[in-house]
Amino acid sequence: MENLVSRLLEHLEKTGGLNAVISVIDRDLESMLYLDAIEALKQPIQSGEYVWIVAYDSLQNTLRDLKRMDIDYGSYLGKTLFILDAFGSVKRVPTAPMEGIITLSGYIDDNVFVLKYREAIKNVLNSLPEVPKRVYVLGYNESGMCRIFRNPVKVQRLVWGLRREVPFQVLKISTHLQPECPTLEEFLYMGSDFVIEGFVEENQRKAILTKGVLP
Amino acid sequence: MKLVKTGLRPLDKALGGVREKSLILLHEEDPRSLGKLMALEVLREKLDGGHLVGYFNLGMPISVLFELFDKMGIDYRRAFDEDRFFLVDTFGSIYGQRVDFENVQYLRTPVSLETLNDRYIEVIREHKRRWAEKGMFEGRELWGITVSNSDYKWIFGEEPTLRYLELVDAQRHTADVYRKYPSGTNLWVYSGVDRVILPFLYRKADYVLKTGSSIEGDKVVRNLIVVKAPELEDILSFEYAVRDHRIIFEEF
Repeated sequence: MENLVSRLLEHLEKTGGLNAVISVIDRDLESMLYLDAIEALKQPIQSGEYVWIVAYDSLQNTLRDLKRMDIDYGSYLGKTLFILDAFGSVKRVPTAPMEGIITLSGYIDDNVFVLKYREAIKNVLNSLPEVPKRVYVLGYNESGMCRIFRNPVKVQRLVWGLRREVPFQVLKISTHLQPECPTLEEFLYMGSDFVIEGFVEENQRKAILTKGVLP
Repeated sequence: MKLVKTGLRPLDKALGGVREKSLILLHEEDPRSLGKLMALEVLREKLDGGHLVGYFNLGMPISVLFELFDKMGIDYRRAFDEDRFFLVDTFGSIYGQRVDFENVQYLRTPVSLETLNDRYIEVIREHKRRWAEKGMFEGRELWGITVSNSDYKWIFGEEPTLRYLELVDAQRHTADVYRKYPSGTNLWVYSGVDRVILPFLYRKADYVLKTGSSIEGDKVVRNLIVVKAPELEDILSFEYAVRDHRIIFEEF
């Protein structure tokens, strides 16, 4: 199956439209379209683009998926690649310190998470040698918000609002497993320029662009 | 009864418009149908037509909403400048993401379900007073657009939201702001399906428009269904598409 996310990224690069939001929604467990979103980031990561991943599932799952997609993240972590371990921060999962992996410390609830997320962005930006022209942002399994926040709808919308606070282009890719957190789908559709849905039909994986137009 | 156009062409053609001062419920049954964009199409139509609009933002960070307005070509800045448009940012009032923009109004805190309607009435009264002083009601339609009433559920919970909507219904008949100044045509968006709030709204509204979608083959099919209208016996259905955040009715 053609990787629609990669095709979209290529199209946006060519047309200078990288300040956009793409949502990837898996309608069932088996479709695993989110792996295409990770694969689509391989080229930007390996060409030294700034990439910011926010993991709403376990950090180990995130790193495993990067590896599965043959992305050598170790060479880029802390330089151009940063991973915010949202899941581990809220769930207090102990992890060994690793350059480029950001954990939010101290007390965290829904409101505090958004404030600390904003602080984390500032800290990373201050540590860079230059202000980026653009940043690729991957929300890894944003449906994990339903497992870690009291009011996931509120956190989702507040986090998406942060995108306009930074002085550079943000190409955001958001991945979701719909059955895990169906309440987030409403805002995904309104806030995204492109939505791709993945599902399985008669043992075949399918992907359909359900919002936006790809020439 | 005066009819006013919505800008949703098949609907206007089939019904001749909607009755002025009526309540239109736009029920976005599933997110993929993007029914909310229809409310923004009505907003665009009314702002372009020089009318008066109050917009109540419940569910979007204001920066995301303005980005969407820009993508849809909604000229909200001009309407702000001409004082024909005000936006009540309930989302920002409660969660603190705010902008400093004249005619973007924040509700006086604390905001709770007990105080919310009084806060709204304060803002509406202030704008209607200004519009009356400037003689702006003359020759213009007045619209209130709320996107989305279902967001109260995520803020306050389902049962309290229903209680609030029932109370607002009663207060509308007693609040001076609706008797002293002209009343508008209201469009309320409600997203999702539930058995608590929706039945009340379906009964309350004069018009119920429902949007739904399905995947057929490799294509998304979207339909606008007119479920309830004063002039309507049967149910009407119109297919539409979404391109560049705009609603396109294929046959029109």
